[in-house]
Amino acid sequence: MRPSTPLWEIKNEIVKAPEPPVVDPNGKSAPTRRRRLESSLYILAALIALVGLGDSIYLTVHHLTGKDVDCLASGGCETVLTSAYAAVGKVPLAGIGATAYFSAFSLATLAGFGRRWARSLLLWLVGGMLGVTGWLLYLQAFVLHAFCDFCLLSAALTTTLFAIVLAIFFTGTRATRRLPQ
Amino acid sequence: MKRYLPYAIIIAVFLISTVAGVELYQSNQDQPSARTGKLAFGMPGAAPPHVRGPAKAPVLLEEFGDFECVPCSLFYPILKKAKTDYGDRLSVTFREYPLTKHTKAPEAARAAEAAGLQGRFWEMHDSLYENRLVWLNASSTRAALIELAAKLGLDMERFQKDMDSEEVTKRLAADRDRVGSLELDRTPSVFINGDRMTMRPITDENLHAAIDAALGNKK
Repeated sequence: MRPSTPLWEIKNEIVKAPEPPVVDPNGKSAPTRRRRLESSLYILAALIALVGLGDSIYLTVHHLTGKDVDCLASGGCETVLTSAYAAVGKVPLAGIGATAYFSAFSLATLAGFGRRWARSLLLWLVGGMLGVTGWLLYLQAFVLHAFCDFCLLSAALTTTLFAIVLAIFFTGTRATRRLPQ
Repeated sequence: MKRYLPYAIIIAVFLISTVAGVELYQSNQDQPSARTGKLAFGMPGAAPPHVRGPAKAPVLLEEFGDFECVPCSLFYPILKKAKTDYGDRLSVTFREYPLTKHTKAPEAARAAEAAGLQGRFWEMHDSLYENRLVWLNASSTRAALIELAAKLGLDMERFQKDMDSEEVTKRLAADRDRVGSLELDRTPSVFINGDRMTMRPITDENLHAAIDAALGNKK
């Protein structure tokens, strides 16, 4: 301690010693394990987004070519996919969905590789996607009275994505919850 | 190197999905014989629709018609001939669009829909156009429509009940919603594979030309 330092400055320099990390028998600390789990969940989210991307590309191509979509169970694909809500102006809604899924895939991959700034962006993006999904489900149920298998698959994927991202965000380490820097 | 790995993965996925999308698009485009026509985008309209021909025909023609309008009655034999000429390659859907300025068209539309509930829409449709002046000039439109229905051998008690039924009202409302969503303002409005037919007047020649174009046959 420097003898010339005033007492009030010395008090400010007193900091709590960090708690020793919890170490498991394999020699890895708890935060390291948690970060690994988070990375795995982000990779899982990226894979789910990839399935959604494939689904959206399929629907976009069928929208552009005007070919029938092979509805597996619901039988309402044509009603839904040829409705006024299947396009925003001249842009197929499925094309917008493909862009959203690709963005989600990219952000989840970056988050999985430790890019913190991608994490909250991903949460906002997937939250928005969930909102649109809710609106589309409402249209199918109460306006068109028809359901499309591929749209329901997309809804399930978006909901799962949101659940994963939300779970990581609220149970993650403090560092993962930081806003983009 | 690891620093750039996520970016490399993202670029790879972008390239693969773009190539896959283009390939899928081209493979769908390369099969004109297996191509199915499409309807115009808009509200779905009454379900099930009144369709003449296979649902997966290469050319889907959708007409929004009014039984009282003169151009519709002129278009009726032209379309009927085209259906005979193209057979299963052409599918015709009729949507109700009784114009508000026509006082007797809504009643005729109800009659056609009521016949449709007994599975006889197209017979009533044809009869309404072929006997247009009969029911239009009758002192009682309803009585004339009932007479036409009786000639088709419909269950008359049910027919009269159905003409005022909620189900018919709902079907007409659903078709009106589709009309609104497509922003139509005249009859007959005709769509071929989702594209509005703009040629006027609709003659036998230009309807055939439009169907040929939709089939991909160049004359």
